[in-house]
Amino acid sequence: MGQSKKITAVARLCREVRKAWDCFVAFAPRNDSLVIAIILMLFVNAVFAQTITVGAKHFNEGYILAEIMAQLLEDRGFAVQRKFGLGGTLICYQALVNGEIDVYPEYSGTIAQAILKRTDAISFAELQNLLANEHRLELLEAFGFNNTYALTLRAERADELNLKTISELRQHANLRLGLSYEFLERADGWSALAKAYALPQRPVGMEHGLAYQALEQNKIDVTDAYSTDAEIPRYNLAILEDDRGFFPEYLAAPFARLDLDQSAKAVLENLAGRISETEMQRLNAEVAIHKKSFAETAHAFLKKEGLLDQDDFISQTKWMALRHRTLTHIKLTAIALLIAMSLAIPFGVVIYRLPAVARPVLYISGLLQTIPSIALLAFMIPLFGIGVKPAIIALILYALLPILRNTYAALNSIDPNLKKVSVAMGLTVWQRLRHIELPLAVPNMLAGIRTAAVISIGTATLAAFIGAGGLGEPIVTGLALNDPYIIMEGAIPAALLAILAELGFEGLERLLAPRHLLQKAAR
Amino acid sequence: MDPIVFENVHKSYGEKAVLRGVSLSIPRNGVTAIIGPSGGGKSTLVQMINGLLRPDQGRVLIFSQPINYDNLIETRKRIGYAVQGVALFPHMTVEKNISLLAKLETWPEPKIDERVRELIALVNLPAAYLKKYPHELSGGEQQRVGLCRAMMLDPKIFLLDEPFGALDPITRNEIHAEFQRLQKLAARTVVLVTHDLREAFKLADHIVILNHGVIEQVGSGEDILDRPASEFVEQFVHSNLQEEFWGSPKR
Repeated sequence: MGQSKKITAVARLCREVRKAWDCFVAFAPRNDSLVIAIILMLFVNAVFAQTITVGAKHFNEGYILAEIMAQLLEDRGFAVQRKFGLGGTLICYQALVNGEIDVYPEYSGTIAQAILKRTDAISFAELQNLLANEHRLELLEAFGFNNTYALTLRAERADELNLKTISELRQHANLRLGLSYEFLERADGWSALAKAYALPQRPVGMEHGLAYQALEQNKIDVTDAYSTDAEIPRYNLAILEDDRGFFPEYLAAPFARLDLDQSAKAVLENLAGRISETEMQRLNAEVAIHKKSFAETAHAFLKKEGLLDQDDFISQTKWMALRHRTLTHIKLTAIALLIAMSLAIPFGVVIYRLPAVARPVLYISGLLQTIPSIALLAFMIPLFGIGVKPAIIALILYALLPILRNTYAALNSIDPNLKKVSVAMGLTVWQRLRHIELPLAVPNMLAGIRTAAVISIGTATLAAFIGAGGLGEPIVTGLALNDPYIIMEGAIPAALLAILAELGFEGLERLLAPRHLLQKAAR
Repeated sequence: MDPIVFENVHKSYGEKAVLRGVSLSIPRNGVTAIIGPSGGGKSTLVQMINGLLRPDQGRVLIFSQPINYDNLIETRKRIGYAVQGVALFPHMTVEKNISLLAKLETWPEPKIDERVRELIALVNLPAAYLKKYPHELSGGEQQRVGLCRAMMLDPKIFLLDEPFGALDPITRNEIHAEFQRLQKLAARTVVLVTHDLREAFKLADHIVILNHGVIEQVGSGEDILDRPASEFVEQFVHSNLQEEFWGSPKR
């Protein structure tokens, strides 16, 4: 009995929902508005769905590789978010698993040992399979270099002795080896190496930082290094080939989520095999020794390799930054506006139905408006921290009043005769609202939303003060540096955005306004 | 029993008493005109029939039932309502204005379409008008559409609150003829509020004269002309007809 009652209740609810939807479709001011709303939603979705977050571990090579991947993706039209400087291997791995980042550069040896806890040797292909099948992660094709331990000596000395491989070291028992303490002490370090190759030398221990100088000054002949160290080209060193494959492989490759966009993976595959050890050494040196920025270094590499579709670096990075900031700005204001609308419009309807609470509600939202924006943003910090969230909340608070007040006024300014007739016809409160009052209130409501949008675009420039990004970034920087040109990099696009919003809303108003208002205006 | 019955109805706005003990029966399928000077309570009386106003005292019975103020929607759907200025919904086409109620009642589409076309033909408007918006219509045309809207659900009671007041004399005559024709086709219980005694004489079977919230007289046009119940009625009839005759009211 109770069961069947529940079922009929559910059925009735379903019918109501369908009826409401039918009514909405049939009576939407013009169906165009529905289409526009859907297109808008798709657009917003597209913008956010296509953003790829690239991560990087906190060290030189990680940054460079991540920046190369990021720039290449951007060049091919992806929106990229950079989350560089993530603490260590496990932090990066967790971020990848949790979907906070989509891809980051990692080394095959690190994945096998630190993440999968494998002690046996495992080939790159095996690793790829294992990750895809058991961890839902994808190790793309390797960049090409192997960043592992290596024995190195001055190139001219190597030529002199005609020394190319570690095996050949056996014939030069008198060579002086100065090795880092770490390498000397590791289980898979010197003692194992000496055993594997039957090396006769007796190495001395020294600080790794001093070893290069010792080499240069001819105090030692051979030291250990990482095969892509910037010092290798700097001191013109040669690496002895690990001809017995003693050292584990540390092949660097993009490490991605399995659900990363296929086309993005295809873009990243362009990097496969492109970076040799020497190339990576050079790139490391560009940053570590020649003090170039990661972005510059990455760009120069991509350009040299002919991988960029767009050419000019300066304008491109500026353009990219501008695009990124503008998108952030639009995102901030759009989210704030949408939330403010979803709050203020129903509230406007409520206070229209309950005039008793209208005054206090309008008064409070008016009070919010009088708080200076910087102060409001400052209030947000202890409550919500810094970043996007507090900025959006502050923007919502500013957008509330114009929308609320205009909705209220719009509903109240409807011809009382029309209201009387709609009541007398026997329309319910909701039917009146949906078919008569709201459609007639649309033009004035839109005017309020338009005001809120323009206010939000302006106020959002201040959100950079609390780390929310957007077009306020160059304004904040420019203010700090007292540089009007940098300020204009933010101010001009923000102003253009406001104008665009105005024009957009004007179009929307023309589209959504009831026909009779337009035709009267046209006469 | 008559479809609309007032039993000792009182209504005040603040200090001002608008209806003072009105008892009245409005007969079925006839046209009853409510007439009287401005502020006499005509509109108040008619708005009590569809529950827009609620009596302070006394009660109103519709189809022998006291109005249920908790479910006015059902009562109102059975009562057609047209007002001065028509008040067509400006954002809807003529068709949507007429069909709104039926759509909300979830009538099937073909039935709605058929009824709308029947109504628009009934008031002698071309079907092409259905696609027009109210502002594209003349006052007389709007009034006809207003009647169609009120007739959509085929209500048995019709309230007309000075609907012809704002029309020019020629259009008004046309609409009057239209109205009489419709009433002959299918008689309904009509309550017509007017300040024009000639209109009342022309259209109504029964005339109710209301002054200062009290009914002065109920009767046919003949009764009112030949046998005025009070000095007020005599004067009212006299001045009203004279006004009409001279064409320009002076007050």
